Order: sequence, then structure tokens, then C-alpha cells
Amino acid sequence: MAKITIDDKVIEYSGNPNLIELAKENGIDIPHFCYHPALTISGNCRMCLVEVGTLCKNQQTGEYEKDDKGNIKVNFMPKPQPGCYQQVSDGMVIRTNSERIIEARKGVLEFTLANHPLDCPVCDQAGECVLQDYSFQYGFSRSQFIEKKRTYKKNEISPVLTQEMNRCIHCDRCARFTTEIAGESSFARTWRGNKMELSVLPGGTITHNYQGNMADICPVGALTITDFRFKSRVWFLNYGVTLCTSCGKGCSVMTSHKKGKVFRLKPVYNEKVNTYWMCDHGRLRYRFLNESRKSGHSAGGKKANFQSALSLAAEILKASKNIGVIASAKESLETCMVLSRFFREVAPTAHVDYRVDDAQVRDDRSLRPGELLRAKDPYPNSFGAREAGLLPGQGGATAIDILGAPEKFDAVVLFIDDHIIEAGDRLGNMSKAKNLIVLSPFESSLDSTAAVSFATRAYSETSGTYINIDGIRQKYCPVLPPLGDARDSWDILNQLSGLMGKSFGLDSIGKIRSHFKLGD
Amino acid sequence: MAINVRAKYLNKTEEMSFIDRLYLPAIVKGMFITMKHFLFTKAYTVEYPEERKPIAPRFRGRHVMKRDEMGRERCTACYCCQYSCPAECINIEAAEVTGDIRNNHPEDKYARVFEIELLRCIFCGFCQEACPKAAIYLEEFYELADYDDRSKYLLTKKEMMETEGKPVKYRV
Repeated sequence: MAKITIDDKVIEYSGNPNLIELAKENGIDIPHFCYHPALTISGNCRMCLVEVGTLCKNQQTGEYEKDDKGNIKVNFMPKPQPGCYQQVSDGMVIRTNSERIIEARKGVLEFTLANHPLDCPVCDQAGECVLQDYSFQYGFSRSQFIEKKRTYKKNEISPVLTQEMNRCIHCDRCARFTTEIAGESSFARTWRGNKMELSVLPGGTITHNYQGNMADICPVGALTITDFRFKSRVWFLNYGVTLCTSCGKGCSVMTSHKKGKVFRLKPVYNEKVNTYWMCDHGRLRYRFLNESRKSGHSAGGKKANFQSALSLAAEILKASKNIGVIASAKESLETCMVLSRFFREVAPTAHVDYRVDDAQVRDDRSLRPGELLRAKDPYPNSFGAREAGLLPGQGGATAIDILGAPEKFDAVVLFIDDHIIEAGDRLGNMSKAKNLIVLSPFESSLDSTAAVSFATRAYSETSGTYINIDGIRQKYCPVLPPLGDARDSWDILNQLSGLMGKSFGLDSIGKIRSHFKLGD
Repeated sequence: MAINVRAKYLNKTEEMSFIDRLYLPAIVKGMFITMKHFLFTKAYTVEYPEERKPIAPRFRGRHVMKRDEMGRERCTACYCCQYSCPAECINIEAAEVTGDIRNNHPEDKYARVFEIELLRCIFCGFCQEACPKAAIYLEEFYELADYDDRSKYLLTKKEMMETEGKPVKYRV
């Protein structure tokens, strides 16, 4: 096994690792701006300078030369080298914290800050700004620069991003992302030297669906997301890791929230699914977690407490023989399992379906054309619902049939999710339904006409499992407290089963997982 | 257990002399002290509403928001004061500077709402200390008492902001 010494720490490695990554894995932080593990190496920021040395070998004898104390002599290169470009080789000695390196970093930071405006009170990046952190950690508080700072004319590059070129440190990450990951060549470095500008090329536009990532990887506030502009300072936000539910891919995301309100989503590294990125479509759908949320149950258009709504729903389901069920693939695998069992054992019906839109799309495991992450399937758990068996039985009506003619059924159980609300017209006929039982985290016009309307928890407030288009099972945990009296869907179904005489006794997510053998 | 009794009880009352029984010398002596203070020493009190005592130069009274030398609002809604406020009495809402108000603000961001709940404020001056733009100061005004309306204690930006060229108008 090859060995390398970083700051007196002997590290074993195999293959051909990047020095910054290798050091990071072993708890040594090499500061960097332009290096990003998913992009090609540019080596232009010069922040990751390290001292590189090799063991001193006598050419004639082939033995290592030793000093007075018996340690092997190390020959260091005359100048510091950029860590991101450094080819790691056996026996190499790296110093990341020597006096020379500290001095070099200070110099680099002073140059970087020479043209960087003191915009921190106005800049949205402040608080999560790499330059801010590094200049606090490695830089010094004065500058010898007395000239006027460089300024640019403000350009509008896209509706998703706000560009502030004055803050740019020319690290080139955004341009590399556009060409290498997003596959567009419209955004690049223009002009040269001090006047260099990251801009949309003449006649071009940024059209790809991954622009938010350019703001994420920007180490300073040169690119920020327009949607989050001036909404909140980042140090007031709390963070929680959950899944994106905007398509079948199920990217790992981080919510930034404050007082129960979500302000933005950011991608979280997940090697198997989304690596470092997420699409803008999913990024901007956090608004469904804030807008028109339902906090209380209702019966017959009036507010009702949970128990009375539950007993009313049980009466309806007991009395009706012909029940239509429109499930939602937004619900977790656990809920789908309980739902499937409920309508097999407690209130048997063949009219169960989750495919409220084009059924073909829901079997499709492919991505949209030209997309990196966004799947054709708009639901996060279509394959979970399929596994749970939420499909029409023999002679059963499909979801589109039920949505088209709900008056044919004695009772209709309807799960409303954000996609169906966004589509708008699909629920048009549902007000004709005789006994409508709605389970939804969102307010809708059907709350007034429905016999019973339950408030359920949105995915950010509950835990569960999604199966994505690649068949990967991903668990998620609640990141926000539930709204008002909202209950988990499986909890409502479990309590209904008790009221209808065939109690499941599945009153926790753990019991459901062990009962249906879904793992821990 | 022996208890140490410190009190001494006087069993006999002392006989007062004739001069003591007259009381007059004691009254004269007392009046002399009173008149000495009344006529020959300066009063420590001031006639408050008409007369005021000078306040210390670093006195922390009611908040004032400053403008820069070009008459623009210095505050850029950086939320540093809100973050540092131990009483959590500051409420800020930031907004983007567009169109007509561009002349009033040096940066792209400004505080659309800037409120201070005076009943919560403990006048510690942390906001003034935290402000990177030297926009908020606690100045000399201290007569904040009122009796009928608590909504007056929500200090809005309009009330705090100094108008161009004039000192801040105090409400009370």
C-alpha cells in the first residue's frame, strides 16, 4: 500500500486520489475555491497551495539519506504547489500548515479580496460564504490595496440566477459546471485578466434546468438564487435532510427552514442518486410545503375534531359497498402498504389505483430527454405504490375512470397531492361524488363538498420510504413539526381499521416496517 | 443552651434637665441646620419638565436611524442587529431596491420594515455596536412613558429615521 505523509500524519492510500480529497478524508482541511470534486481541475484560485517534498534518496547506494537524528531527509520543492493539481505518489511528504504556506495563503487571500467588495451586509451568501470563512480563518483584516475596486455593469443572465459580477473571484466553477455537467456552452469566461467576466455569450441564453447548482457551487455571492434573494439571512435558518418529491428520481435535499416555513431546498451529496446536484424544477417546489396547507380536519364542510371525523368516515366506509380509491404515489411505501391492506381486508374493493395521470409514464424508469436528473414520472414513489399493489383488481376501475365519473361509486377515497392541485383540472368532477373522503396535506375546493376531509402530514413532517425509478429505497425522516392536528395517512387508516372491527394494530412506522418486512 | 442576649434594657429613665425641658435650644439648633441648607447651599434637584439634567455622552436612549452624507438611508437590512439583540425585539423585513427609491439607498437591499418593540428592548446598545453601516444609534431621548396606547411602543422605521437635515422628531 502506498503511503503519503500529510502534516506528520502517515496516510495509506490506493489508486490515484486527489490530494485535497485524500486530506479531507483524513481530517485535514486544505482550503480551496476553484476545486470541486465533480468538476475538472482548473487550478486558478491558488488557495490550496501546499509544500510538496520527496524523500531524499542517495542515487548511488539507493538508500534513504538520514539527518543527525536518524530521520529520513525530505527535499521540498522550492515553491508551493497547488494541492488540487498535485499528483499523489508514494513517499510524498506534504505540509499544509507550515509558516511558508500560511504566508502564501495570506498573500493569495489579499489578492482575492483586492477587488472583492465589502458587500457582506447586502450579500445573500454571507454566513455560508467560503471567502468569508477563509479570510476569517487564514487571512488578515487589513489590505494594502488602495486603488479603486474593479466594477462591472450588472447583467441579467437568467430568471433563476442573480449575478453580481463585482463579487466574483474568477474561480470558474460555474462555467465549468455549465459545460461539463449541464452540457451547455452558453456561459463562459469572457475577456481576460483583471477584466475577466463570467457571462452569457452574445446571442446565447442559459436554458438548462440545473442553474441553481451554479449558485450552490459559487464560493462567493456572485451567483445567488433569485427566489431566495433577501428572504432571510442564512444564520437564522435551520436545516434538515429529506428527499425531493418532484419526480421519480428522489434526490437527497436539505430544507432550510425557519419557524416552520421552508425557504429553499439545496442538494445533499448522495452518491447513488443525485451526487452533488438537483434540478431547478425540484428546487422551486418547496413552496408547496408552505402554501395552502391544511391544519385541521373537517366533516361536511365544517371543522371537526379528529375522532368525530374518523367515526364518520368509518360509518361511510361500512355502509358503502362500491368504494373507489384514488391513492397517491406521494405517500410513503409504508402508507401504501397499509392502504393496500386496508382495501383488501377491511373494506374490500377492486377500484384502487394510484395513476391519476398518464399510466404509461408511471411505469417509465427513464429520465426526461436532455435531463441529468429529472425523471419522466412526476411522483416520487410510483414503484413503491406498485410494490404495495395499489392497482385495480379484476374489473376494477382505474384512477382516471374514478376521476371521470365519481358518482358511480358509493364512496370515494381521494388522496390529494401537490401535483394534482398543480394540474388543476383533474378534480373537476369530484364534487359530484356521493361520499367523498379526502386525505390531503393541502387545502382544496373539495374540502367544502367532501363528507370527511382529513389533514395529513406532508413528507417533510413525517417519516417513510420512497422507491425511486432506479429501484433504490430511500428513507426519510421528519424535518419540520406537523401542522396543527395533521396526522400521518397510515395512522388514519390504522385507526379506521380499529373502528371498523378489524384492527391492524400498526400504530408506529416501525411496526409497519417489521409487519410488511420493509427492513428497519 | 446559653443564648447570648445582646440587648440592654434600661431600667431607669434619665431625668431631663431644665434646659432640655424647655425644648427651645433644640428647636433653634434644628432650624439653624435647616436654614443653612435652605439659604446657603445649592439645590440638588431640578425642576424636571422645565429643567433637565445633562446626560452622559454615551447615554443609551431611544433608537435613531441615520442617513449618510448624501441623505440616503444607511441601513441595508443586514440583520446583524436582529441577530445580536438579546431581547429579540427587532423585526426586519428586507426588500430589493428598485425604481424610484434607488436614490434613497446606497445598496441593492433595504429594510422595508424595521420595527423595534420598545417594551421588550432593554437598551443594551448591542444593535448599535453590531451595526456594520453605523445606521442605528441609541441617542439621548429617554421620555418614553405613556399611559393609554401600547401600540405606540412599536417603534417603526418612519419614526426612527432622521429626516434629511433635521434632527429626529420625537413622538411624545
